Amino acid sequence: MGVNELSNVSSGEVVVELRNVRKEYPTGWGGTILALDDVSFEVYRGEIFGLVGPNGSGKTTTLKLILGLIFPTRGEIKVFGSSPFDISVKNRIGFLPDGPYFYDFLNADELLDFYGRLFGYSKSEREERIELLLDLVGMKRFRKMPLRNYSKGMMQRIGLAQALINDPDLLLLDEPTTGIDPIGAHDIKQLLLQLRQQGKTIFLCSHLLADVQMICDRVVILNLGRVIRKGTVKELLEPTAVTEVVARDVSEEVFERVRGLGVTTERRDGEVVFRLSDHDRVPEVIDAIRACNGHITSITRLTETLEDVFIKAVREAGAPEIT
Amino acid sequence: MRVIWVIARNTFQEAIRRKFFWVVFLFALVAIASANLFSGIAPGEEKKFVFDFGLGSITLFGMLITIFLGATMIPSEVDRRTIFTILSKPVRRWQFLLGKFLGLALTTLVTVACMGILLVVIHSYVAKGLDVNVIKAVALAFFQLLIIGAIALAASTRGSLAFNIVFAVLIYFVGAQSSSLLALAEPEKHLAVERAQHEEAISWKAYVFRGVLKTVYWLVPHLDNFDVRQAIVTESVVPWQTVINSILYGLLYCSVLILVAVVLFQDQEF
Repeated sequence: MGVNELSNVSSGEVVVELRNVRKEYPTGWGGTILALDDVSFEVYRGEIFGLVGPNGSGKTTTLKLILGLIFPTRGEIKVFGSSPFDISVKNRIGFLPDGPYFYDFLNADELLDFYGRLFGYSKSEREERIELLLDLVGMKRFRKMPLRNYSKGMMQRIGLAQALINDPDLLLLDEPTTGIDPIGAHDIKQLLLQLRQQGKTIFLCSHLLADVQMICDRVVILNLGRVIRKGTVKELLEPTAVTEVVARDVSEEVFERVRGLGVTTERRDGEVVFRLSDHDRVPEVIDAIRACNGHITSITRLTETLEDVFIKAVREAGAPEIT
Repeated sequence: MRVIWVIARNTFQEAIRRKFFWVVFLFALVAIASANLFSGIAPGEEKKFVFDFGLGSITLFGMLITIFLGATMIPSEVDRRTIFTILSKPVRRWQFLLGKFLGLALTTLVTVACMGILLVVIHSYVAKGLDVNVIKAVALAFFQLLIIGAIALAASTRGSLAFNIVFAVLIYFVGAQSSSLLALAEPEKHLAVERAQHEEAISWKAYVFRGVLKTVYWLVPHLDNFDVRQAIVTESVVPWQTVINSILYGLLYCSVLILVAVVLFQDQEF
């Protein structure tokens, strides 16, 4: 069971809303390139929302639109019910860019102090937040080291700290675990889950589909600037679910009879594997196995991974090979 | 104002932590300090030599620092993507730009002030007394650099690094010769030629050429207004009114440039 199924504190209150958004970039000489086409989705308060897609699918463009760094060609974007250019909106959001690069002449203390000043925090408030955040991202030991000497993973951690400096209600993260070792990546995922428990909304762009499947409540798959799948992780994976019944000592007659029901069968290491996408037929198969004195070894409900769903969806949409 | 100051402070901090800044700054200080050593090549003119050489150094090295910092300011923020995290915080675009300009102005002020103090000390030693005109000349040099910095910054909202530097240097040289442009555009005023007689003689091509020159004259900053070297070398007094008028002109020109930069920056996409 994924973490997303353990706790869904989503409230139904829309935090981010995109309605029929289209974005074209000028290419010079009057030409344009289409980055997003008729994209619509909502992000609800208290959920971890995943935006996934192959390279060039429009993920970063979507993030930039939500942050007010670029302007939509058409359509409407609302963050907390207001324009993303509204300054009051920016007081409530935190952002970690992909492969973050910060002022490398500063050290971690100075960098976080600078961002804290932009929010108008007093000296004591800044000191308090900086202590808390450096502890949270495990960077206290390196607080006086100039950022130019940081590794990619250290930069990512400090990037996460700056995104949290204002205790944001909405956290937008572009590839937050890239370049981080497995323990660090695990810590970040745990932190995101904790933040969700506190009622924060997290908007996550990632290529790491296993992470997205593990922690996201809802997912949108983008391809070539269009939404090709959206829904909860469960909704996306459920259609791919099969029940796998593994048994031994199954007579040939029963094997053929079950196969005749349209069930996928396979012989493996002296055992027989039955895979049923029609779950109502499971008792019938079990009864047949028992009737011929066969022994059931295991009954497992299997779903494809988000990665499988993603690859199928992208290929069905007619995209070139994923790079 | 708080946000503008935070960005200005950060810009200043970044500038003074760059190796480039210190290399140019120390070189400038050495050049100014050595002015007295070289003054021997102009016997009897030591005072004038120290002043000319010192102010020339302030302008040259100040320009190197100001143009480089101004021209790289926005492109480096975009290239390093630091602008993403700044503009996703409660910072308006005009606040960001104004903060950057004030940071640049602060860096130029500190640089010129240090170089200027050194020049005043050395000049006072050679002249055996303080010459207020030197202080006035240094103050005017600062405002001249401020205009060039504002041009580099305004260009950097849209242009590439190379374009910004070339553009700012070009404007500096044209601006420093602005009165010559006017003289070329209106020779009858300057050469005491009879206007009617002159207009009869010139072709339509010359009219167009003159029109272009006049337009350039009105567009480029009149940087020669800030150059009081001639007055000082000839030991005339530089009137306070001239200094104040030039400073007011400099501030007005910078304000217009920053306004243009804000308009250009407002719909910029990153």
